[in-house]
Amino acid sequence: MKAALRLDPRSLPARGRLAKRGRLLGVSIFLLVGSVTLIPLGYLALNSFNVAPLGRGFEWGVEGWRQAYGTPQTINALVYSFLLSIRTFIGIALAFPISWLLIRVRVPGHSFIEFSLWMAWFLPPLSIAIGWITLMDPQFGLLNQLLKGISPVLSAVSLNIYSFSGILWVHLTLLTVPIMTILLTPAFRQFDASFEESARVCGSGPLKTLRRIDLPLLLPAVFVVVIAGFIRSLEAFEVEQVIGIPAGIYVYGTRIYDLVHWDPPLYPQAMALSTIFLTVLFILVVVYQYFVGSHQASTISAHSVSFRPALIGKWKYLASACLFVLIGVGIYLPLGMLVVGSFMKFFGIFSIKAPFSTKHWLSVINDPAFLSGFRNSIFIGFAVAIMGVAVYSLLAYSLRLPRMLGRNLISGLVWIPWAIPGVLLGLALLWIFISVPGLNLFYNTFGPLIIALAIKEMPIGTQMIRSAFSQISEELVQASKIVGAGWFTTFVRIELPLIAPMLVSIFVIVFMASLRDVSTTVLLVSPSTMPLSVLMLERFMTGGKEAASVIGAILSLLAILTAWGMRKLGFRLGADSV
Amino acid sequence: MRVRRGCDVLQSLISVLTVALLILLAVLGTAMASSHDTEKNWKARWEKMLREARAEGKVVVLGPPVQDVRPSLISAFKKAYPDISLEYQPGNFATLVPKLRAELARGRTTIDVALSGSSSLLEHKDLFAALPERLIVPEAKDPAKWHSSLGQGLKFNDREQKYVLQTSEWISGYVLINSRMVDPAAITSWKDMLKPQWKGKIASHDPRGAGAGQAVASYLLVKLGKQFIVDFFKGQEVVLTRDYAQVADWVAQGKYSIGVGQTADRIEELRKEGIPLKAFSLPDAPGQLSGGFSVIGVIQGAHNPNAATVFLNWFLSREGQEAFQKPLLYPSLRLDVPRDFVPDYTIPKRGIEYIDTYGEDFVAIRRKLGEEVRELVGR
Repeated sequence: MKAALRLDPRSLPARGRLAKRGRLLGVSIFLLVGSVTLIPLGYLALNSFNVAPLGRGFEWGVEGWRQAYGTPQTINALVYSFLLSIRTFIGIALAFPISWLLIRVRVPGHSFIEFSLWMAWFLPPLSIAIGWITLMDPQFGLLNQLLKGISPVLSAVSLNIYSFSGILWVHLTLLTVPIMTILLTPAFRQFDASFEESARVCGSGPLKTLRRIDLPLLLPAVFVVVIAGFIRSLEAFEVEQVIGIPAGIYVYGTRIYDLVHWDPPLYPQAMALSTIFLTVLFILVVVYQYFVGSHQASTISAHSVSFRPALIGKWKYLASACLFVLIGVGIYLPLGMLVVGSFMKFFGIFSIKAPFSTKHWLSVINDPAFLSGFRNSIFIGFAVAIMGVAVYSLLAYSLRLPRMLGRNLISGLVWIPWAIPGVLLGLALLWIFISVPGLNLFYNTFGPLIIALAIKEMPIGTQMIRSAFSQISEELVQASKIVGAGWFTTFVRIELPLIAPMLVSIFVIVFMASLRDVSTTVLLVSPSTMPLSVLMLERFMTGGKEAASVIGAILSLLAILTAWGMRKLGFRLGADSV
Repeated sequence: MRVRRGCDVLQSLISVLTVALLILLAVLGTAMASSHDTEKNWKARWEKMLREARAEGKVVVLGPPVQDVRPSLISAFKKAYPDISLEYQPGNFATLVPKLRAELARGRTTIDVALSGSSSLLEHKDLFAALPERLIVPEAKDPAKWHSSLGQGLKFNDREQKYVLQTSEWISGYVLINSRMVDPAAITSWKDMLKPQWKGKIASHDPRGAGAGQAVASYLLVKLGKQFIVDFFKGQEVVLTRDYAQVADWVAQGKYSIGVGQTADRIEELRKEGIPLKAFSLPDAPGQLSGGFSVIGVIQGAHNPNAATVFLNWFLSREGQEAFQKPLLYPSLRLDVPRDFVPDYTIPKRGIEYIDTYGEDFVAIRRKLGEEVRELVGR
């Protein structure tokens, strides 16, 4: 009787079996993604109410909250975080016309300019911030010296990198404008030029066409980029750490770093501060995801038939010159200054007889910590990239299965790491790896670092691969199934080869992101696992600015080589894929 | 009769002397044997320790966040013990304590040895192992080789005289000026620095956390009172940094006129290049006896306990002391370590009674002072 009642899965209809598999897969993926995203968040929120010293049990209290929001420094940090996010709007106002000039107008040198923007995105922000300090320190900055040398009138002008506008400037030139342009250019590439031609036939000039045709049509893509930029701007850390603190400007990320480096560390305050901020960021991520959906639906078009460039006559030479000045001043000048700084005997001191020396290069290259940092960086980069590509591919593949249970929920969860600033993710994982039996075996190893970085890059990796999968015609998959291939064979023999270029690109992007990351790893490293990026920050913060410049120059060289490699691969990252 | 008595006395004397001689020989023999055994014992113990330390392979040392200390310690230790690697983590011990306690509870520590200031080590002395039983090499612990303000011998900072050991002693609390910008005669006391002309022109190591800035501010609080702290740090809008080299760099660049709480190593490096930096003490608060980062403690339950012991014994050797103290320009309390590199403004002057801030008796006061400074300066 009992046996008769038992349902044989093979006797279930095919749809039922699929639904069961979908549920099983959905639950498994939810557990995987949820555990790496929600547990750190929950840990932070819970421990914001723990007033016992961390690692010594739990003692309920709201002291952390009271102190976190009762000090003017914290309030100032929150205010500055939001004020500095204004760069998102300035950035889009610049990136939109730049993208148009690069893709639609194809100004002379557009290829080199685009390469430079890619390179800027790969450059470690800390390195370039050091370059800007050499240029715009109010006391010794070379630009200030130059102004004084040119005219006594100009000597009254003091460019101060340690200021609100200095932070904005570094972010705009190095991060915000390059990444926004990189994200917008694919949208412009897909743009059907026949719309512009129609406008031109009706008598519109190029600028009016840009304003009345291009902008409205690309508005969804612009929204996506703005929200993504806004979220990322709120988690900024390195630039503010070296440029903001001397000016007394703390933002959310640097304030948390400050609190956990206090004597004694103020973890409950740091976690209370995080909880509110994460809520704000979470809402932004939800909005962002909504726009990503809308954007995909509205901009991917199958009938982009005309790609003729927009004609702006001789103005294109002027526009090209302006863009060359922009990348020259914004990217290559601080990069050059970083190299100059690395050869200075004392960083920023030009008043001595022989201010330049190779001694810091020699001492860094011969320093065992540098060699170990270099090995660690390469190992961590490869490990995160290999693990990331494998996990993101499976996640992205799962997310396109229509029958998977909770697909939208999981898709939302995948975005959460974008809402967790690196410092916080590192802090949460640090305590999880110390406290949880079993996991603590991996404490002080590369494990937590690799996991933290893989989590951090999960949104961009997964969404880009997902986008690549979505471009594979369903007919190819069906054809494979008709000839008898199972899902695994189809996945490995048909789909993976088709998205291979994207996987290689994700590999390079994740590798480079791991190589330059500071905020996620800074709290997780030990002397034996310390990568170059953290070593650079450590050197900078402990009086070794010269050594930090040398490490920055080496990391920048790696970034340039990677950007060059990417260019050779011919990869273009699309706004539609992020 | 008299002759016979004399012979008896002589005979008795000879007997006594013979017995005394025999006793003396026996004592000497025992002592020599014991000394031979002791030497054999410590060598055997040391060899065993070395074998186990080599098996551990490394020792992790938390040390001062000062650039040149790392390469100096690593290369000197490598020269002495090529089979044991030294991993150096620069940082502040106090900020690591919660993490360290959590690590200890799970039996896996990140660091084995801490080199820091005394107050942060003494406040958490329960984290440290007793040092005397780990001091194996006789030469390292020989009292005749060490001398401090307390007299001959090793200078432990804790009351129990076994957990936290200071290896240097010098004067902190001097001010730094760039004589190209400031006439030294313009500053004859700390109170001179409250004059409006110095507003916004003074830089200091941050007194709100453990370190040189807090040490100086706490001392000024004792000597000159709360109002001075408020008037000085807040009223004069003193710029704060946690970077030990930054204050001297700023004064050298002329960005700020006066520096407080900076380290001597950077000052001397800049002076060598011809920058006219001048450091000096002021009579209304002439300075305090400090040990800087020279205090050592071995973590109880360290992950590499034997390598930590090897490091401890090596650190107290002449080579270890030179490798550590020279980059910091600290005068070692070990008498055979050269001091020719120590700047004169850090050497105690005759006739001035300095407060020793590194003993445990001062820690409670120091903690309270530190908190007061923090409140006065503001977070």
